[in-house]
Amino acid sequence: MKIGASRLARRLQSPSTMTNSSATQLAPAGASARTAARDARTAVRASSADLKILARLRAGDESALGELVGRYHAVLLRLALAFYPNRAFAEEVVQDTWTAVVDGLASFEGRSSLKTWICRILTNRAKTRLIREARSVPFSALKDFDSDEPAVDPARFLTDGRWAEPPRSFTDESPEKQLIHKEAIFCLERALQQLPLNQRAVVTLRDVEGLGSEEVCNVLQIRETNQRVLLHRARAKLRRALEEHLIGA
Amino acid sequence: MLRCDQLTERVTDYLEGQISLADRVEVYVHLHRCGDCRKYLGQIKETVRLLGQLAVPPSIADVGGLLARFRRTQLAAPSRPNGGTLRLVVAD
Repeated sequence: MKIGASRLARRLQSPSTMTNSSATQLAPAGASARTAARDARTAVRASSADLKILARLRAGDESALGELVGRYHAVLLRLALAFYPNRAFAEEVVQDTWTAVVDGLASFEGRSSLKTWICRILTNRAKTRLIREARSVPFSALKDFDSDEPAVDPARFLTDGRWAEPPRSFTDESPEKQLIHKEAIFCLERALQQLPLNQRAVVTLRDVEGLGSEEVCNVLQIRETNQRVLLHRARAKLRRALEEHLIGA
Repeated sequence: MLRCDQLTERVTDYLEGQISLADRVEVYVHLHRCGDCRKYLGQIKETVRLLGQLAVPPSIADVGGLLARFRRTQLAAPSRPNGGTLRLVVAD
């Protein structure tokens, strides 16, 4: 299990592979495998959990690799599907990403969370692959441009801006709440696929996977204001999809 | 006076906390008076809540292939004389 640990350790000691400060961040001097194992059992903040698993990975701990994959595989698959809703494409990109993660473990400097780092690798891989394979998604779709589509159809307002046709309830008059919930989930899945790529990527990371806005900007390399506009449009469309679906408009 | 159509465009800024105090007060006052807009905001929140419940697409990672690569990466690490100041791994 620990085969190669000393070699890797020597590699990591080399200033050429890692700066002193980042290495210090990653593993406090004197940290031992035993200490790490003990601390891992107690509740820790995400970032320190990152550092623990990283230290184990760098020590050649294969079970840590399994944990890492278990923790982030689903997020990656979701994000890959957001870039191109095709299962085979997504699986390939995710596998690519894991390969790059394994190869890049030694050079990860801990300046972002592990999740952000991994998601960003996926973003780059997905974009590269989309461009190379000239899928039906044009490169411009990866950039941030959007027309001024309103959150709600202007026809639903009076000329003075008040509601002419107010939002209809999602849930009332339904004896089958469970069914409604299942239908809502199904409807959202479908509506998500119909969003423009950039909106889908943002809302997937923010609302499906629960990343913060800063993390999302970091992963997708977009500005905060753009992120907010994309989120706004995506949520508005998804709400509308639910309204139309559940009311049966 | 904030209009209903304008409110629907500010909802995200409002929820994200990226809004000036004056605008926040305007939104707040409007929501207090307008049941339809309260319903709209509630539905946006409900949408976000439901999105958080989307099932993870089941998938199996090729952990076997990754493990093999992981081992190769470990073995490929060049051995260098001890010269650094850091001891990252104390495992052997």
